[in-house]
Amino acid sequence: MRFFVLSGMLALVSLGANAAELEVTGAWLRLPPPVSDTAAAYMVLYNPGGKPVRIIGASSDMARSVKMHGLKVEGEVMNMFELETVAVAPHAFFAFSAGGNHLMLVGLKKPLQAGEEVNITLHFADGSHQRLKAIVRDMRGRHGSEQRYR
Amino acid sequence: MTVSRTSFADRLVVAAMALITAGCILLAGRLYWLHVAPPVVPAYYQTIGGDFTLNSADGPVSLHDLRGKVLLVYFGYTHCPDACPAVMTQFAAAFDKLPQEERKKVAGIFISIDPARDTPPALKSYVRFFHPQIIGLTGRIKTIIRMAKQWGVSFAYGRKNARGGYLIDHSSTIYLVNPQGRVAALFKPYNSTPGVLADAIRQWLPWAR
Repeated sequence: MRFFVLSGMLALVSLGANAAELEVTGAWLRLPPPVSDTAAAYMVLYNPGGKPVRIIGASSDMARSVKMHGLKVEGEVMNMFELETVAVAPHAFFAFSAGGNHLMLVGLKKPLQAGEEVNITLHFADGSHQRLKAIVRDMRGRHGSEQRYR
Repeated sequence: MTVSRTSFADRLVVAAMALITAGCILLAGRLYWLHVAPPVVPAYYQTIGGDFTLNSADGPVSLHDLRGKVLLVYFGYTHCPDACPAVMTQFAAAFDKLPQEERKKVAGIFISIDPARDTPPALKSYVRFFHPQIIGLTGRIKTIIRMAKQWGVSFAYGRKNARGGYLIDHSSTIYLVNPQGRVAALFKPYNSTPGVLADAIRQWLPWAR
């Protein structure tokens, strides 16, 4: 009996180890102006596992699609481009942050409210996925002034 | 024989007066430099900027209509999810750092380089979201291209996706325009803060109305 419980537990542990899993902190969404149907999302990801985790896409029930964007500043010009995949190395961080890489929710299904939580799902190369919640923040004036853009 | 001889005490008085006079001149110069002389503008800024006429939701707006105000100008588009809202938030926070009286002497200008999607009414509600003193402007694409050249702005439209959406690479410079309508300072969004922008605005306020 004890053997079965033990093997069962081991099976659970190994299942957990197989599926990609990231630690997500500080996930938030910039409250967009009412006319805008796009919103940027930011978060810090940490890979606690021993294998690299490759994100191949993202989705949200609140938007038609979710793109991963990188940002390059070449001289004067800010160049935003789509990231096909994002690899998070073992025991490494990856940040989607204001003025850098970000997730872009395209085609918002309804206007967002400050304080609201939005579901975002990250899709991994191994076929697994991870759901997370991002809080909508109003960055204007007294509501939370943007001190430094980057 | 009478020789006019100045006593040592007299000489001391003269020397002291000379010193005091020199001190006053230096102090006056310093005060003038601090409070009366306008900030120094690098000569090459003369080659960028200049007048324009574009459309707002409330009719055409020219730069010369805003003569006398200190302006912050930024080129962007409303579908830009990250940089443009961040810069507009900085404009708003910079304006809110000024006392009510001085806030009347400033304005923000958001110029859309995406007139195909950004109509003047859409731009108005976009900028109003951030601050009542930001004006949203755009125009015909030919006008925008000509203006971009004049202001040293470069932009390039990205490939359209299946749904017709696209991104635009664009210069990220924030322009400070002085009350004479000339570009007087440039900022990058990633090294400016509302405090930096507000300080730069304050330097020009004595010449604004």
